[in-house]
Amino acid sequence: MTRVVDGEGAHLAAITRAADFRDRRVLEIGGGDGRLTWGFAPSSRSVLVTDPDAESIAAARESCPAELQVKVRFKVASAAEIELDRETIDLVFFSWSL
Amino acid sequence: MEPEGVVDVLRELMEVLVPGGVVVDLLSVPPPERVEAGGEILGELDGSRFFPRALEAAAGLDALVAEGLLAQEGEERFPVFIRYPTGRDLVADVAQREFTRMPDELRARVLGVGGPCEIRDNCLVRSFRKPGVRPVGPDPTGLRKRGSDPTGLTP
Repeated sequence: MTRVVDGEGAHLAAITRAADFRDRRVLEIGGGDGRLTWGFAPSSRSVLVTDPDAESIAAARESCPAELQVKVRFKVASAAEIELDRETIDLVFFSWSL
Repeated sequence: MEPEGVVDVLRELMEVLVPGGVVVDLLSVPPPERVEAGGEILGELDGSRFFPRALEAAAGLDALVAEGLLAQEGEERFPVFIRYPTGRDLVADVAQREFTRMPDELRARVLGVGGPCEIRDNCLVRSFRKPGVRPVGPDPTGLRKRGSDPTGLTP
């Protein structure tokens, strides 16, 4: 099936108007296939992409641009399963999650 | 996830956020998604099972604002389009969704669309800030520890 989701880039434009992702340590919850991740990750310091759907994370890992592989990591986890040290994230991004 | 469960999870997530850190929440909101073709509105998808879940999550963040754990900074509503080459493609895509359904009458109309058609979704993005001051700028001491980045990717 051929479909074009948000060809205008409205999602990415809106989230980058809402917050400054530059040089931030980002935790993305519900990252799906990484469609939005590839948009904000270039300017972020690091990104941890989580999603409870293993197939989505596998697809995201597979399609991660080479230049982002040094700063983007992936984890299969729901929001309730995320375990990180205290005060180590600058920006939490929920995308259709919880 | 139950509403109380959402709030509990959010409270725990706020622990990993630095003081002054930011939360961005992106979600789809009512009115329901609209199916259009050639400038004509064909009908609306049934989001009656989807929206309560999405709005519960939004209410969870509102609960944290009420507790003083977050302060809302911004809010923006905007449309997003999903485009398909034919109505059959659109129907097949919606059929894969877990919580959204297409009414039978609308399905029949959309299947009759042989050319491009689209779904118009209504989105909401909100931003929040955790109270406190976030350290800004590079570490002037040059002594930033590797352990400060849980992804382990900071040089």
